[in-house]
Amino acid sequence: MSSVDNYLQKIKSEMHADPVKAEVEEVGWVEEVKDGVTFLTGLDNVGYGELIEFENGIRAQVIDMDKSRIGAIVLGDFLKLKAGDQARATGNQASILVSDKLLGRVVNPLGDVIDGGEKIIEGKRYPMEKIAPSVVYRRPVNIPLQTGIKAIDALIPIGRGQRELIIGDRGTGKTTIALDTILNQKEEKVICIYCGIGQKESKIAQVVELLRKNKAIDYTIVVSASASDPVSLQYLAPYAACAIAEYFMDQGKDALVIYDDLSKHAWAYRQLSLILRRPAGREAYPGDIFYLHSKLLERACCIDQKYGGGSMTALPIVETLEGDMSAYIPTNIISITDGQIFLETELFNAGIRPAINVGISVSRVGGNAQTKAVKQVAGKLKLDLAQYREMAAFSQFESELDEETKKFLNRGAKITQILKQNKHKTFSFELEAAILWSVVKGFVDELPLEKISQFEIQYIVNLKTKGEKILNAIKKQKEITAKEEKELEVIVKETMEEFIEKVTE
Amino acid sequence: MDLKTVIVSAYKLAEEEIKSIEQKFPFIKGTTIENKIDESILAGIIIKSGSKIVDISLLSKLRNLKKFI
Repeated sequence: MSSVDNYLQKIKSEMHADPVKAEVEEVGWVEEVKDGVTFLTGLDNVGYGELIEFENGIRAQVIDMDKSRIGAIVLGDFLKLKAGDQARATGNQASILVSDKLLGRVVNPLGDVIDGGEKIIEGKRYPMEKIAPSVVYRRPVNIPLQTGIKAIDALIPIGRGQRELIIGDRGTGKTTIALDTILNQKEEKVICIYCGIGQKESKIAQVVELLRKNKAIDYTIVVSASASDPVSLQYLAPYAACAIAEYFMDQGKDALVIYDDLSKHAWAYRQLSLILRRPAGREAYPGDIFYLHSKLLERACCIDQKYGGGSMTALPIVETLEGDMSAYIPTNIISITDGQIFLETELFNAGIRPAINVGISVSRVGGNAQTKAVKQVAGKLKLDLAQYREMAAFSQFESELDEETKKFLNRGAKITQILKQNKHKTFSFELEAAILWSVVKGFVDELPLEKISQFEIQYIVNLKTKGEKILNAIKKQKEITAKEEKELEVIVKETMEEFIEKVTE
Repeated sequence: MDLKTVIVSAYKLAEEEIKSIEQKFPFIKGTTIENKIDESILAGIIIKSGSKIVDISLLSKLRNLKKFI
């Protein structure tokens, strides 16, 4: 049969189909419209979290149920709703259309493209709310997620499937750390999702521009609900981003999600809750604010190979006010995550960038995931730094210091200096290991402090030109063996000689 | 339970017609049935009972067609 015949057949059968399909629909009527929230009567058999649709096509999600009325958050322009409007239950939960085509795009939490490009119409629907995989499906975190930032990879290592909080005041470089991590995933085959919650549109534009410039957009998806979007969308944004990550995780891929930031997410939820007249608790947040974030971050995991593998790493960001870590949201999220990276304004202003306070930053599970090469140097590094901090506090009282103490102080200062790193300049782990090795072994002890960064640049150049073999060997074995140590030593000494010559010239 | 069901139709329904509707849609059984006439729906009926609605009017069909096109 030709295709025309087929077509005719199809039309025929369609015409013969029962023209009257009577479906019983659940409907309700708008009673009240408030900022982003609407109250309805009717809809007696609607479920919690179900989507309802108004006659003009606007959708809303039921998140509050009373004896006589229900409250729903409007996913769209609530100004177009008026009292008396009819809404019908769709029988579906909130979901987002996901596909590989999302890569390189900017979408809103409903999956609509907002970068001005082509619409995405194909894909699977993934629910926004999902219970996290149980222990059966999980395996311990043991593969590193290289951030490319020396201080983090050495001292606060992050593993794939881990949840590591980035916390600090405004303007301390929280987003920069997250973006650098994305930039460093170019060769790691990690799908990155940047979720902007309540951010300025200009900031999102900057992020996209940065990713484009560094060709990182090809493996990144930006989900954004900006400050001008309805709070309902801001509330849903992290769940949508998480659903997209789950799609890639289900394919056995590694995903990285950045929630920037969860304090604004908490504000959005506080606003919704207050409008819904839920009882306000501490700092006027509702009682379920903890669960709001725990259910989200719990979805980050490392799936056992038996069940297809794949992982989702979460890097939530929380903004503090005046360094107040003991506020409600920071303490909540600190207790949920597997560690935190503290950023401090004082350090930032003192020129130590990334402004990580290595003393109070921790990673609770990343140690197992750390590459052996970095681990080899990190142990000594941590010890040296800890001693340095202790001595530094102590030495302020004592004017005369013994040789040993001076040595520690000197070493600590050098380490602090070498851990500085320019933004958007990430290193591979073998390079990190080689750089840190030179410091830990004390080769740069006699170098003046201000010359350290110059030395680093020279050293990297030499490593890349003369020491390519060594770097490749470290990369392959993931460890610095005695053989490489000898070869590294030669290069370090060469660099020192060259360097001193240059400086004296 | 005193639930009211409204059947909207384009013309006044006969007793038998209401009976047969009741048979086709058992969820309205036992409720007080009221027949409302609204010519704007053109043909067919709309059954409203509590928060449930069955819309098999020509007007809604045309509306859907418009949306579809």
